[in-house]
Amino acid sequence: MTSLLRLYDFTIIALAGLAGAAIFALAFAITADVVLRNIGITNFPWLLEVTEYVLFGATFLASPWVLKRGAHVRVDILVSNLSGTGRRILEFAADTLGLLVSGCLGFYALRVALESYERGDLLFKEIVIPEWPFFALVTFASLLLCVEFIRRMVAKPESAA
Amino acid sequence: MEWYEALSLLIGTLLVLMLIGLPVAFAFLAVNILGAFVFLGGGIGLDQLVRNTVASVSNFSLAPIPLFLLMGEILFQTGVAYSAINAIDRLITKVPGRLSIVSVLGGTVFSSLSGSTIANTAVLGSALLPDMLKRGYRPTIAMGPIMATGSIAMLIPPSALAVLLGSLAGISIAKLLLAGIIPGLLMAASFLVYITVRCALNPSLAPAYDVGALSLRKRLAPFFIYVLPLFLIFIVVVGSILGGFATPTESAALGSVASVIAAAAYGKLTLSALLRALMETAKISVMILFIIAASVTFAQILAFSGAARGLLDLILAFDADTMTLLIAMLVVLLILGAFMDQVSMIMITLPFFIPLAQGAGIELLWFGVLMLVIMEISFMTPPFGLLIFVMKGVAPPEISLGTVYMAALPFIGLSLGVLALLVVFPELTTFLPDMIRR
Repeated sequence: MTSLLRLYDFTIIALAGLAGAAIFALAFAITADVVLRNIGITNFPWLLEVTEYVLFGATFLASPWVLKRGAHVRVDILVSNLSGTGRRILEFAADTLGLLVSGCLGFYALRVALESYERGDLLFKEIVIPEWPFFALVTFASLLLCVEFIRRMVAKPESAA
Repeated sequence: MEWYEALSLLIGTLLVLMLIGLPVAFAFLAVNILGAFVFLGGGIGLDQLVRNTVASVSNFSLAPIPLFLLMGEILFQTGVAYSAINAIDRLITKVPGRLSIVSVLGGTVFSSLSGSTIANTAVLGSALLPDMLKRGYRPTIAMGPIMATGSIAMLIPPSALAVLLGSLAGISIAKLLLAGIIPGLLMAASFLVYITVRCALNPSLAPAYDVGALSLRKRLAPFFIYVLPLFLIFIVVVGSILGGFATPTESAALGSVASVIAAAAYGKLTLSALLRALMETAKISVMILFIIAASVTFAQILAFSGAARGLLDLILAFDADTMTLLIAMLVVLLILGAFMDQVSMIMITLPFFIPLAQGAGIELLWFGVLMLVIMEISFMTPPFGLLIFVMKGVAPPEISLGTVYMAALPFIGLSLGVLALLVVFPELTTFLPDMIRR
C-alpha cells in the first residue's frame, strides 16, 4: 500500500512538472514562431492547436497535485473560524462532495470517451487526431482527484487542515 | 420551475458549497452536475458538461495566462526581482515613509513584469516587511502599501486576469491589457501621495533613520544595472501589442523568453530556481484554469434554466438610467469581491452584466477596466481578500488579522477614488488602446 501511494505521489508530482515544462516549451516555440514568421523564413501553423492542447492537458494533469498542495482556491472563512469537531465535520463533508463530483465527472468523461472512440470521432484542424484521448485524460485526472479526496478524508485531523 | 426558483437553486447551492470550504472549482462542477440533471436532461446534459469542460480551456486566447505567470515567476524565483527592489531602495533617500515609498515604486516596477498579484505581494512582503517592522514602522503603513501595490499587478500588463476577463467577456484582450496601464499608474501615484502626506504629518508612523551616506554614483549604479534593463521586457510585451505585430499570447511568450534571457544575463538562472518557477507557474495557472474549466457550463445552465433572462428582465423593468445601472453593477461586484475570488466573480456576474452593459450602451472596454479595478480592490477587502491572507502569512504572529484589515482600509479608499475618477473620465482608460496600430 505504501509503495502504491509513493508511486501515486511520484505520478502527480511528475504530471505537474510536465505541465510546467510544457508551458515553458510553449514560450520558446511561440517566440520562435514570431521571429521566424517576421523574418519570413517559416511559421508553425500547428502551434495554435498545440497551444490549446497544452492548456487543456496542463490544467487537468496538474490538478491533482494542486489539490494535494491545498492550493485550489477555496473560501475558508467558515472553516477557519471553527475548531475541533465542527471543523472536521465540515472538512469531511467538503472532501466527500469533492470525491462525488470528481467521480461523476470521471464517469461521464469515460462515457463520452467510449462513445467518441466507437464513432471514431476525429478533430479536423491543422493536425488530425482522434478526439477520445481528451476525454480519457479527464477520466484519468478525475481518478487521481478521487484518490486525493479519499486521502484527505482518511488523513489524521491535524494534517487534514 | 420559475426563473427565480432556478436562480435561487443554482446560486444558492453554489454559495453554500463555497461556504463549507469545497474548492470553488468543485463547487461550480457540483452545481453544474445538479443543473445538468435538472435543466439539461440528465445524462445527455452531463455528456455536454464534459465536452464543455474540455473545450473551455482548449482556448488559444487563454494562453497568455500561464505565460504571463511564467514571466513573473522566473524573475521572482531567480531573485532578479529582489535585486531590482534593492536597487530602488538605494535610490530613495530622505522621504517620509521611505520604505513604504520603496514598496510602492518597487511593486509598480514588478507589476510591469509579472502577471501575478500573489508573486508581487510575496516579493514585496518578504523583501521589505521585516526591515520595516524592525525599523519601527507601524503595521498599517508597512503592510497597506504592500498589499495595495501587490494587487496593481493585475491592472498593469502583463495581467493574467485581464486576459481572462477579455477572453470570457468578448473584449479585445490587447486593448484591455493596454487600458489597465493608466489606472494602475494613477493608483500607484495616489498611494505615493498618501504615504508621503501621512508620514509627514505623523512621523511616528514610519520613524526616519539614517540610510548611510553613499556617493551619487553608488546610489545610481544599481538602478541602471538591475532596474533599467528590465524595462526592456516591459517594452517587448507592451510594444509588441501596441505595434500590432504580436497577439497577446505571442507577446506573453516573448516576455517569458526575455525574462529567461534577463535572468541568465544576471547570472541568476539556476536549475533549481527554474524548476521552482515552473512548478509555481503550473500551480497558479491551474488554480485559475481549473475554475474556468469547471465553471463555463454554469453560464449556459443559467441561460438555459431561464434564470439569467428572468433576472435581466427584472433589472430592466426598473428602467434605471445608465449611470445608476453601472454603479449598481459595480456595487454588486464589490460585495461579491469581499467574499470570493476574482475568477468566480467573473464567472457568476458575466452572464448578467455583459448583456446589461450592452443593452445600456456602456462601452465594454471601459466596463472591463472598471471590473478589473474592482477585482484589484477585492484582493484586499475584508473578510476574504486574498492578499490580506498572504500578508497575514508573512507577517509576525503578533499582528492580528484585524490589524491587517485596518492597514488595507485607506488603500481601499484610494482605489475607490481612482475608480470614481475612471467612471467620470472614461478617456483615461480608452486613450492608450486607441493608439494600437492597425
